[in-house]
Amino acid sequence: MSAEKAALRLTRADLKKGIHREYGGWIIQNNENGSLSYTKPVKGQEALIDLSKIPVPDGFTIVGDYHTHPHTTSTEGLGADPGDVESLRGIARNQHLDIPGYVADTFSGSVYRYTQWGPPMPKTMYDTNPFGVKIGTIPPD
Amino acid sequence: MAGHLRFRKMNLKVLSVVLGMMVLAVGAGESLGAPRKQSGPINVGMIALLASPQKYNQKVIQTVGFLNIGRGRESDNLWLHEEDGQLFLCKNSFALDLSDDQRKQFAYLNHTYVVVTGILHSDGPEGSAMNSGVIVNIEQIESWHPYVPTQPTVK
Repeated sequence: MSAEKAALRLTRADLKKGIHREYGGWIIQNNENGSLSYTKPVKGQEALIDLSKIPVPDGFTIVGDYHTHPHTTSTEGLGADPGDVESLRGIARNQHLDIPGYVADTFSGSVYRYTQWGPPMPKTMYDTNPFGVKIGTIPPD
Repeated sequence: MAGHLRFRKMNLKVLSVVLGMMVLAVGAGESLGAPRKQSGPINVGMIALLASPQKYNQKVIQTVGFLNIGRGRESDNLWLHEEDGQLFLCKNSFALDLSDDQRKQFAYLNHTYVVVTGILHSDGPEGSAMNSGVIVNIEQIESWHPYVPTQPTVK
């Protein structure tokens, strides 16, 4: 939640300036003591964020990813979209990591956790259902 | 006189042939040698675009693909084929950077084949993005009229 809070704050600040941009990063685990933390949120584009270039500190393992959706209306929806789920599949294929993802949208502040396994599973890239399970809400600052 | 006339006629024939050849040569020189300025968008198919998107990077292109305007902007894409989206073949697509107004304006064309005109941004076919690039500054999306066979007449 703290990772999403940091990313959402930046996304909302950009939206106030009229900039639609995603932020995101990795959720990482300390290999020695098991404590969780996250990499600083990085800028993406309106509908895209490239996490592959974010370095993971030595002694840590990636256990999840997080990002935001710069939504301005309720019709843009909650939770993950098929592209987000497919992105996790890409990480599984390319990095051999089967990790959950977390997404929060600026309009509702709802935070969703999703995996490449569902539930529910997107049937196609045209599926408009929300994916994942709501785990909390981050109100505006 | 008759011989002289025939000679003049022949000269005119030769002259016209020579002139014709000169015109052809100038035309050929223009099309083969001299660089031509691209006035409108580059009309290119999706397969060529997907094969070497870096060739068209930052250029105004016009192409035909299957339009998906999703529930959020991050789902707006142009797909090579409808099936590519059904099978999650994301590298066979380009993201579309549509404004809120454009998303409403072109909603009636959703899930049909369309002609899109805009500027392509791409890191190449092996870029780390899920798709093969993004089309920005979209000027127009038009319907790609498929051939609709005439209904057989009922007797």
